[in-house]
Amino acid sequence: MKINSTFGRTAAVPALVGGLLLASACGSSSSSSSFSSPKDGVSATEITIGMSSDVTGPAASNYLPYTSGVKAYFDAVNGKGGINGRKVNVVVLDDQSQAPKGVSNYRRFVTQTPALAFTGLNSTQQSAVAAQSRANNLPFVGSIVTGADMMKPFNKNFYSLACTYPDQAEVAVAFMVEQLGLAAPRIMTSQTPVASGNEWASVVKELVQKAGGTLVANHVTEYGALNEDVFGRDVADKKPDMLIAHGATSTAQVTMKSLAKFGVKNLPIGTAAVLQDGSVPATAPGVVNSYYAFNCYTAPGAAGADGEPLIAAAKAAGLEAKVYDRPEFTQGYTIAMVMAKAIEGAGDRPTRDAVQQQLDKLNELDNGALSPAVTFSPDDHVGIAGVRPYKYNPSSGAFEPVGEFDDYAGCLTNYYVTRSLDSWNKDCIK
Amino acid sequence: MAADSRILAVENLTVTFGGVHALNDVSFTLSARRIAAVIGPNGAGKSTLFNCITGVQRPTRGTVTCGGRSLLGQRPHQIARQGIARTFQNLALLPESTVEENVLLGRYQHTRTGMLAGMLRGPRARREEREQREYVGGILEDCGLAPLRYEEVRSLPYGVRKKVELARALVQDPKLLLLDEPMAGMDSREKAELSDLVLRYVDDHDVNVLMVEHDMNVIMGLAEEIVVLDFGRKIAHGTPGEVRNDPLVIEAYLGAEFQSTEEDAPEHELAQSTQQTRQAGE
Amino acid sequence: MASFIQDIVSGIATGSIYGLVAIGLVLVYKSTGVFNFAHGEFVALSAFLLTSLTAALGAGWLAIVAVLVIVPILGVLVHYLIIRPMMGKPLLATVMTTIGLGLALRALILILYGPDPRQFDGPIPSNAVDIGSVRIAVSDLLTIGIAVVCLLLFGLFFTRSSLGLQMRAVANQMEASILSGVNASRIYAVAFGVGALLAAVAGVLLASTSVVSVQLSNLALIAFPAVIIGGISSVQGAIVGGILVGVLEKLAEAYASQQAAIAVVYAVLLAVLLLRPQGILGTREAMRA
Repeated sequence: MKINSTFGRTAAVPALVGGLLLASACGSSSSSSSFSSPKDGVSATEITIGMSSDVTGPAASNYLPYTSGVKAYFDAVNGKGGINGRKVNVVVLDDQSQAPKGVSNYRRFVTQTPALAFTGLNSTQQSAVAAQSRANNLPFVGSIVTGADMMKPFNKNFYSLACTYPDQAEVAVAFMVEQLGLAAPRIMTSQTPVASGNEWASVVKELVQKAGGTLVANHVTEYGALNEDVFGRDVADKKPDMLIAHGATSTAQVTMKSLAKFGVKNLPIGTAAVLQDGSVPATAPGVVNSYYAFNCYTAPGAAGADGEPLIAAAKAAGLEAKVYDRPEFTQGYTIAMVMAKAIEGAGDRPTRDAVQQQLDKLNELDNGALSPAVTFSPDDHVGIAGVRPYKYNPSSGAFEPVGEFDDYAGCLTNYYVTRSLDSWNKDCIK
Repeated sequence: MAADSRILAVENLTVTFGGVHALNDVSFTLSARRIAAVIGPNGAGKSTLFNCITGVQRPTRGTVTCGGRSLLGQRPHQIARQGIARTFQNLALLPESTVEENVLLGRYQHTRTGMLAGMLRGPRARREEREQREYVGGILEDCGLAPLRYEEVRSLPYGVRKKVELARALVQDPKLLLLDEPMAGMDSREKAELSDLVLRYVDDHDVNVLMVEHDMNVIMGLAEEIVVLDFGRKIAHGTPGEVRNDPLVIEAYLGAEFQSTEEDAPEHELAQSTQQTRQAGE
Repeated sequence: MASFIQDIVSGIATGSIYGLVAIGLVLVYKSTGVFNFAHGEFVALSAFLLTSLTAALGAGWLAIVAVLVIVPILGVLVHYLIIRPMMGKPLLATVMTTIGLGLALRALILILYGPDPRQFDGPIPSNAVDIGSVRIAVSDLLTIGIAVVCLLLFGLFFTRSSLGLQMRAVANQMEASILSGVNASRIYAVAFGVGALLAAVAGVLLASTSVVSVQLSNLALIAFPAVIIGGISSVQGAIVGGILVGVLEKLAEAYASQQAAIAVVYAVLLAVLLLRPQGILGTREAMRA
């Protein structure tokens, strides 16, 4: 207990006695030691986990399931007595996908309401806090996306638990080109104006050229646009063989409406993980021929027995299927699991530094059919390596995995370490 | 009582703007005479008095009653619907609308059709609108504006616009008509026309007129009763003859010259005084 | 050339919706002096209401009619419950109230409907027709047609009806109108009601051609420049401004990028403010502040 030096002696004594009584009272009600470290977000009885997510903004359909996954896992942990006797308190702040809000939320968890670990933010927000996150010691355990600025150069505090956009693109281009069996495919891309969108568009372009195809055009879709008529008209005019898309559910739905408006039909679409959402192809059924999302997480309902604990936790939290039966829910659940594992490993005295040491040692944490195994090392913080296609089934509305993660391992160049797509070739699928 | 409903009584009326008295303890009762005037130099409180009567200005102290009923606490449109109409010194017309539309505006208080029914334009609403247009037509005729009925106001000369403004007040069928400098900016022929119009209207209708006017010839010709304000205080109240000879009034406002030149003007022979106004202007 | 014409048509269709929203803003501003920053939320609310009423009533047409009745009533209620008590208070306070109302409506939508976008399968067809080499979406033609009809009806109401006359009178000569016996508060209520009706029409058109999401509220952000470009005091200006913004946006999008579209719109706004501060069709004397 720290006593302000300006405190008079007479005032300090009762305060100190009171503080000790409080501390001992707390200590007796819990099995843990009386260790606390407020600057790490750890009290004798509670651990604070910070989260900044889009709960009510334009990308909420992606970020709400993720947020729910994190909370559902820790709810389950708390139900079993918490971690080493401490309850986990997940504090979620809404950032509505706005960079300034995300930055201030993140800062708050660094010092004002210190958290033991943090998760959240989209790629643009990650870029905005990248420098800060290198300068403090708050473990930042992923988000549903991983921004390139967090990975380049190496950031000891950031642990990626998303399939990176280069990974997704590498499998997506190889798979879509193979599906169509075209020697010189003509491809269009789309992206939202965020950091990951730019990365997606530039990697896909390079891969398409390596596969002998041409990138006909890239369209930037805007959050909140009423329509994407110019995009729709352009697709109708240029008739690409396929669309390889990035975006958010809302922008993608608007795009589908505009494609329908201009009479686009039977277009094969491959998308980044964020567009693994049945409401997108369902918006304009005739437009889509086949709809694949490239992801490293499987929705609980499509993961068989491995998904059951997630569904149970979700139901215990009172969530609806449209929230929990999504890959983002699995991802949030997995991120929470990784955090819990590291905090547990840090034992009775969990601090940010101790949690980091544990994260760095995490090796081959098995996640069954839900995702590839999670591995970190002190100099490699890409925790998930592996992507596979998920095919949209229009009759069930669900996404079904195509093959195993291993089948596509040959397509990955480990771009964030090698910094090069040179080893990629279009015939990489097993 | 019809006569009572026209009687305006002001008691201890005080309006203070940040410590300055625009009106200071002003009391007067207008008897059942037909045309009264408020005179006084600029800043005497004439406009504030009008604003208190119409409910636009809430007095700091005092009461205003019309026909025995207090006007304080009523909203301006309710006061208007009680039969108090006014014109504005600076024209308050819709320049891009026609004469008829501008005048019709004063007639809506006599509409009984509900707003929704009016919007849906049922047969009753249509009949009522036709009746109102006929009434407006009659007043336009009286004002000599009938040929200009469908003209846009912005295309009309100033003097005609003044008449349009008067017509809008007249269609309200007022019990008390407040005229704010109705003659300002008019030439002598127009002034005479307007004076005639007011006199004819007063003859035919059960109405009292209270006017603010700077043209002494007009005042002396039309008003049967005059209230004189100076720096927010009432300094005189009486017939034109009484007011004209009041030493306080002479000092504050009228000036010696006016007193001598107008001394022999007849006071109550209205036709004659109008005649005189006409001559004085020429 | 074909794609140029297509983009122009898309621009006019999108701009017609901006125009409808802009007229609602201008109408309320002109008659009450209040710039209603919650107007966009009325558009979004109408669209969401349409989805739940379609589910409840079973038929899209019925739901559309219901929305066009309910939303104007909400507009009138907003006047009586929120705007009227603010009358006589400083204008800034009233404007802040509308901003607060907008945030509250946005929160209400999120509480009632959640953050996921919704769909409305309305009676507006989603196919396109080929006119020569030009492919035009049927929904665009319908949108333009409906907007034109609305604008004509609104114009007749504003210039020919007694309510319209009273509305113009209160807007331009408030004191004289009130002292002629016009009940200004009731006219304000009508202005809010008609403004809400125009927002509801825009909401229905957007639900049919776009996606129902709380982002529709942001429409007001693009309608504001339309209002300023057209002239804040001019109803016709709002339409011209709306269509101009829509067409500029689509052309910029087609020949540069979507991000450039926003920049182009605001550059035109800036140019208009510099060269003709009262807007293209605005009048100088009607500028209030």
